[in-house]
Amino acid sequence: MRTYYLLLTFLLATAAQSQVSLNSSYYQVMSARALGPSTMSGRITAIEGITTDNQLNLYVGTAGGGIWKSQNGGQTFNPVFDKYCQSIGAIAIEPGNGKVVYVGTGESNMRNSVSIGDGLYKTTDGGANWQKIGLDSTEHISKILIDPSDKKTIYVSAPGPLWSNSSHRGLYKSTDAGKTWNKILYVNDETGCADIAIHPQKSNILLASFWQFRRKPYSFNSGGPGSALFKSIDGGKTWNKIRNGLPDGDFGRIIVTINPSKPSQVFAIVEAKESALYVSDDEGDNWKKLASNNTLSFRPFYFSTLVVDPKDPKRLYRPAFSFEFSTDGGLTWTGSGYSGVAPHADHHALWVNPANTDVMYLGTDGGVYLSTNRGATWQFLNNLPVGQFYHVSADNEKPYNIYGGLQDNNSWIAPSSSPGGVVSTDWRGLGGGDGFWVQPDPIDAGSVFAESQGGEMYRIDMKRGLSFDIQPQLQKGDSAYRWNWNTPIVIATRKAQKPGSKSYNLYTGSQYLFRSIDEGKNWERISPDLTTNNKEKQQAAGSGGITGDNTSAENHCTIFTIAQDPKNEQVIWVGTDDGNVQLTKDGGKTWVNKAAEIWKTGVPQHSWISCIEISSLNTQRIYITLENHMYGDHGTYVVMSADGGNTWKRFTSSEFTGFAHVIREDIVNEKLLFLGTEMGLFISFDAGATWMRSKYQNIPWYALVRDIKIHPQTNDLIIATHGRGIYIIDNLQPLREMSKANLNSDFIFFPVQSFTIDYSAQYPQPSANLYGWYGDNTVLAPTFYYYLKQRSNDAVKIEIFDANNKSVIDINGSGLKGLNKVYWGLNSRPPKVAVGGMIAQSSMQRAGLVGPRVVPGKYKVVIKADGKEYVQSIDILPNPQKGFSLQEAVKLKEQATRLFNLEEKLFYLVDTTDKTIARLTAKNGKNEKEAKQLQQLTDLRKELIETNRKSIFFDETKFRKKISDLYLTVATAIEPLSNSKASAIGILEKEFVEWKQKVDDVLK
Amino acid sequence: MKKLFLSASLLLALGFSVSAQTADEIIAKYITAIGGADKWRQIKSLKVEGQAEVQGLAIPFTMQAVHMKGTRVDAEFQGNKIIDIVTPTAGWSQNPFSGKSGLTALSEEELKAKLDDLDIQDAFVDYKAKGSTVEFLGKDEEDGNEYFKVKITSKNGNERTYFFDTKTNLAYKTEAVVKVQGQEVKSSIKYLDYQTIENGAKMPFKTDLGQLLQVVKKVTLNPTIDETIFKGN
Repeated sequence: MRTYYLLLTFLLATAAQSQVSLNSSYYQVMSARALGPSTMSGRITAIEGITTDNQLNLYVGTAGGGIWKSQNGGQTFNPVFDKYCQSIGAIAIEPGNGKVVYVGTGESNMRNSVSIGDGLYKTTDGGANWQKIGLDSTEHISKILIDPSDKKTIYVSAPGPLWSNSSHRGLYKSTDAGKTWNKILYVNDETGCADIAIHPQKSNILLASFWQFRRKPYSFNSGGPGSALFKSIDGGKTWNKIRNGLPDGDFGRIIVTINPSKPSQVFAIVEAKESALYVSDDEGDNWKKLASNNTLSFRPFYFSTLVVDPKDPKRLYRPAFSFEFSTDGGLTWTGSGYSGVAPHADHHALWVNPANTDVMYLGTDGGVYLSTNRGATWQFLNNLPVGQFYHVSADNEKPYNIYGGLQDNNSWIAPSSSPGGVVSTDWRGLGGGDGFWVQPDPIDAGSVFAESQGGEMYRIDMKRGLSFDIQPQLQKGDSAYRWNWNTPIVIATRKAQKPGSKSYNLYTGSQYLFRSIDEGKNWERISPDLTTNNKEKQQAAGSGGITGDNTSAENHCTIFTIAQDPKNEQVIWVGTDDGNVQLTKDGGKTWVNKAAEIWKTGVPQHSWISCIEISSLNTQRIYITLENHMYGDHGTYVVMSADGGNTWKRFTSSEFTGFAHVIREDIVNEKLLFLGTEMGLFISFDAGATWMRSKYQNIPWYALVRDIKIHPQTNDLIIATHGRGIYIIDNLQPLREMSKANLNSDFIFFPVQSFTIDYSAQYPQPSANLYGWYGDNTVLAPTFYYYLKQRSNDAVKIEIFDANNKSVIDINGSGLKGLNKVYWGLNSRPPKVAVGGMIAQSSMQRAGLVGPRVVPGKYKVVIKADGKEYVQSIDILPNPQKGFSLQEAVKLKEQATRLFNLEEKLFYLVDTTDKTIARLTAKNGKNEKEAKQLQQLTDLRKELIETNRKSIFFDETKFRKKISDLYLTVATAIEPLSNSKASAIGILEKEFVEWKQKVDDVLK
Repeated sequence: MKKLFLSASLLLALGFSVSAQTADEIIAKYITAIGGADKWRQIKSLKVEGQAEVQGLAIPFTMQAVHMKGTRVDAEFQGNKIIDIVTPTAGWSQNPFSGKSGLTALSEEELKAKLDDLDIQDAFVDYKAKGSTVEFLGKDEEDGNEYFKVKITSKNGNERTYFFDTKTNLAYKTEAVVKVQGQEVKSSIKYLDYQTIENGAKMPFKTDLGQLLQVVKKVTLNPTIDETIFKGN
């Protein structure tokens, strides 16, 4: 009995081991294409630089796109933080060592849409590897300072959580290069550390500003009794509150900056009833007012940068709403002239190169700008694809276009593929402001509906290029409309009223739901107030605290998401920012609030309804994402109903991080789900039972995923991120197959899809000088997908056979664990090309690598893996509409084959010649005939192949090159040679016969 | 109790940091996994034959090395010879495909980057005696598996980060930052298909360099190698 029991456990253990523990590395070949844009970049939060080995290294931190490193002063950048939190608050480089860098996550430009960090990180090798070193719960970090006299002493200012009380705020210090941390100054759980400054020579002198600040979904408050300026003269052991000369009353946010070349002088911009720039000439003890104007004191919660030139003590920079500077020590201020390129408004970072103070880098809401003349003029660095999308949509053109709105960077359209790749100049603007929803007319994309913040919506007539305001205007009996900052604009199917009329419904919502059937000319209000209409949550008008601020960003009790049943336009779901989930089944006549049913799953009440997704396969299946981060709760909340909204269940996973923005069900396989949160893209293969974080699809592990669409024609997954622009994962079909398959099988050859011959357009292309960032195109080629349970170290071979069972080509497959993806370029096996002489970078070299294109027809595909064979067939179809007919393909193949045969005949002729030459050369005591033969063959060889070529810049044309040139032309062509040109093949064939005869004559 | 406390503080005073201990533990497990240090110390010379596979083509190569004295790689592609030679004081390369039709001396910087190749015993075997230092860089995930990262800096100043599989203790991947036209580029190598060679040491028979897969067919231990082959001119 005991033995039996043991055996059973053993069997179980073995079985358990062989179970695949699925994660996103199993489909790493489903890699996303990053399309940018970099034309309009995104919010930059930190810039630090250092010159090492004559290279100017820059580290650029972003609001939602991680860290980008340049080794050439910004000419090119690479992302170096893609496995970690993407919201960056502060960066510090160890003085004199560009390899050691500290990064604080969680931006502290505390706008409504600011993301959240998860602590402090460090690299010791210039960004190749990072380790987390603590302060996990600070959520926002505004500055990191390294003691100039002791690189192991580090100070970190943490404003702390924005949406909740927290004891994790304050000023932290490490004396062991970040291994351990102590909180050395703390005020209370509502007041965090906003800024710090360290004396460059007497590094025990520190100044720290504390800031009482809190956001709610419907208002924010800057300032209060907690805000203060502190000074320490003992490295932070003891602190004194400083007031001498500063204004009376409560403070808001204070920026403090020590003059680097005159460190007894300290500047501070103080948010107070009378906000102003103050100066101290005694290391921060006593202060006097220096200047006050709006450009210094605008929006303190958003602009917190004041920089003094490293060498010129009189020169100050205030990058804020606009770029202001002073040349008289802060007394008077002027704006940068902006002749030439004007930097994007809203500035958050400025790095002045201490080695050459003419050179500086400015971080704005729209990317990085470089000045080489102290800010007189600027150039835009068009190479940082860190755009912050809110939503994405697509049309049905071929290739389809992508539409979306960017935080503070307008609304945009770009093709999903473009000749040479999707480059910066492929992105074209569709209107200004903060961009959110952009929806193309689904019929022919002749109209595009877009908006800026607070529901300012318009229609663009794409043919005429004109824009028309379409925002609903107040109707009799209605309360003033409350538009969310990010107001939904939604298009859904509608039965055509009459032939030729545009058959779609256009929806938008304030607190009421509106529908238009004439492209926004007329709106019908089809609901009562669908929100809680809680007056306590309508305080945007009094928002801001010490400095008033009401920009629609705090509008609340509004409609945030709308979804119409794709099969029944009477059924409409509406979600609000205050937690209501409203359903009508009669086109808006009556409404039912389903929120209470959803709360039964344990999700927090009155949280934002961020997305409602109605299954396109079964419209009784509804998915909802909820998010509650504005009440300090970062939980990932996703629920699903299988019965039209009566009962709900919640999806949970230990993988989840970040509050949820969007969920989509695949349009073919209901088990395949995609979830986007503030910290990641998650994929489920089993209808939400288990989830995988996307780590191996070329998307940052903690990407801010705001929207997801599945293109109905191409089956592409389109992902909108808030910090890395748009990503596309081409053709989801393999994931559909994987989610159905038994992945404990050793090998699976997934069904092969037929291929219609097509080629990516190559022209016209924009100038390469204007590329900036560019994204790859989709690949047009027959594609084979197979699955390996384990990584295979033995080559997987794919062999293609034609209809006569004749082998066409061998292709090397990959041996990746999980899904493998292999393209067939439609070529057959390349010819053997005659050997000898230098062939590098010549047609002779390339001819040996390219086989003739196959003709349309049925082919057999055999995969050989682990000693077994797996067989399927593939149909290669002609595409006469695009000019690729069967007849032409056959002709092309016939021409290419004649030249192929010539290459191989020459190969054998030269081979015979070479062997004879070698034999004769090696022979001692040659007779006269042999000596003559050797000489004749050596001379002939020089005519057959190029033996004098010694450099890639020296082309010698002998018979081999003549064949190879024409062969390559035909083998890479997409249409056959015309009859007049094709006679050139006959000329070469005749010439071969003559050469062959000459060699034969010698060998006789 | 008191004694224990003393020895612990002594260790701290001597500067044994926690990370070095962790790195050494990982290295010790790795060396055990590749057959133990003794097996590697026995290897004084080496001949490796195999092929480089790139875009469906197989390029045969032979590597010959005498520990710390010289290495030489010979390959042939489309009738053109590719040669790489490294010695402690000089190196040469010939590659008609990158414009070097004859043996050309390596620059000082190129040579420095290749000097570590002279060590044909594993880089971690007797690493301290070889003048290398190590640093533990934490845990990381690649390809869905967990790895310990250890950076080794050789006495030549070259840094390479090893990814040790937390389950097998074998090196799965290394990363190094190399300079290409003055710009630092991360280059990574994956080690696959570990096999036991005749003396019981274990080495990867496949090396994935991204664009190129190097496949070992035959390993000869301690062959007699004429050191004149390490002369480039």
